[in-house]
Amino acid sequence: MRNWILVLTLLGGSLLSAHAAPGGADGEPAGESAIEVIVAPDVPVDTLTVNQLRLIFSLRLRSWPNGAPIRVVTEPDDAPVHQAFCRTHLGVYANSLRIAWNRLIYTGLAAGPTVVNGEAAMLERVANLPGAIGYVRQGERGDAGVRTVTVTPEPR
Amino acid sequence: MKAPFPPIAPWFVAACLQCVVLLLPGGGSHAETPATEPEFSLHGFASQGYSNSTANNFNSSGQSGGSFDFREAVVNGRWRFAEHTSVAAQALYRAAPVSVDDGVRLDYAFLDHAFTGTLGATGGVLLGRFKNPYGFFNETRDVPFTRSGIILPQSMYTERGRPFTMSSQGILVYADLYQPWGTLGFKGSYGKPVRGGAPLEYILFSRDLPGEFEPDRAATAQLRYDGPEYGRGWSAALSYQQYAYDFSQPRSLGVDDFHFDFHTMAASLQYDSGERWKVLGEVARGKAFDGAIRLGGYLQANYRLRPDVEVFARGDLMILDERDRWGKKYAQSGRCPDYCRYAKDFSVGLNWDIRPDLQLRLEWHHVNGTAWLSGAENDLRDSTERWNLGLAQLSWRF
Repeated sequence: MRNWILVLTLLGGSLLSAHAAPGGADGEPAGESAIEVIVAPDVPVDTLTVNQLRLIFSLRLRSWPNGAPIRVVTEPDDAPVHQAFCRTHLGVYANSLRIAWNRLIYTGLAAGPTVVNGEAAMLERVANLPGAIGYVRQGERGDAGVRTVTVTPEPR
Repeated sequence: MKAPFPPIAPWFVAACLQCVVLLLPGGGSHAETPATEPEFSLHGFASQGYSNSTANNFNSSGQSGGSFDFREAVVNGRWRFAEHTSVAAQALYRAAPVSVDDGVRLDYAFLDHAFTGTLGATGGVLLGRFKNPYGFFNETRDVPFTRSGIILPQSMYTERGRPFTMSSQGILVYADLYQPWGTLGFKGSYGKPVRGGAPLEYILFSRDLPGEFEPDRAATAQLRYDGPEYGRGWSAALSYQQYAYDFSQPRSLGVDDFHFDFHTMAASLQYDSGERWKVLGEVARGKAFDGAIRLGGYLQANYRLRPDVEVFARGDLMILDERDRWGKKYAQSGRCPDYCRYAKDFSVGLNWDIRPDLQLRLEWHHVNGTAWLSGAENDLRDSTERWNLGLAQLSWRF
């Protein structure tokens, strides 16, 4: 059993000293421009509260007010833009969001998000998938046919 | 000993998983279908564990050099064939001596119809076999990627009882209300438990008798609160679970009928800083068919060293009879030593997300007592009171 303690200590130590959290505990990674939330042209909302955005991206809210299914589009868990979006817009680590997804996926209560690689693929998918919501760095939107949604603080 | 389900060789499961992976586009998630078409999604994972202990057996941990006997693999699919109606199913392969598990089972299979239409609430109904909501973790207790640690606190989520507390079949209704002050969720179900199988016989009789536990009734209810900032702040839950069975050959016990009934309630509380640390605890109180009150509870703290590395420490206590907490009276009966009636478990662990789809876990337990060990792999009359358990697990998901 001493071996186990040794292994834990060594591994813990090496992980701690390896490097600090990328981007810091509450930071947008350095050099990352701001991110905006985009939706498909048919999505019937122009604004969302922060909490609604969190509920949508954690796959808990699954329909728009007109009853149409919400389709969440994300980049892979380790993509810098995804990690920055999780931190700045949702206030959680990408790992925590993944745990929330897995809880729903492995009880059969939700499908996972649609995952795309890169901002061009994100724009193309959100523009062409009814009910889609995703995100893109500011200035990348161009004329892809998506709309931006304003995210407002929670009314108190 | 009769296996609870037909055995399927691990190589077969591995081969099936491999086929599934080859068929999928990289990373695996949604099939690329237009939104108006039915949508299909496929997910799964496989994990391999290693257990080693100074004494006693937990997944054969007492073997010289430890044991690799703990393996799990899951494939699930969800198909949305109408705007608000889906079917979902999951096949689970599990090799775990502690729960007399070795084979493939249908873990859940249900029709899900959602009632929706606002950004303020959702609700729906499931028909079929579904996971039992209980505490924070019961529904996903098999899924390494959803929990801290390789094994959940055994006072509440015993591995030996897993096969029959996991799922039930019938009807489940769910509703979530989203308000500025947070989310209030309700789930309630009624139906029959899955078959009791050998694991239940080992818990009750310490052996596998002729006859089966036939499902009689299962009911669950859960009220859950999550703070408005999803993933941080307070979460709380109150859960109730009941399952009942009738033993098909009570004469082998020398009685005319044998009805097993277990009711349990749990309260759960968590505070998550949303950044580096969280603290959680759950307590449970259950009443068994023989009138004994079973108590369980744990307190746990997690700390995130890096976005991909989390450590935790936990203290967990299980008591099998509230009126005889430390087993003194039970020991006088000669059935097993006093320490087989309780377990105090102190553990520390580390979770490392090597890649988003690959995770390594290590944990170490110091345990005083044997209340959550299984009679299927231990002679509980001759077990060791104080023992240490080291566990490692590598998990991969797609």
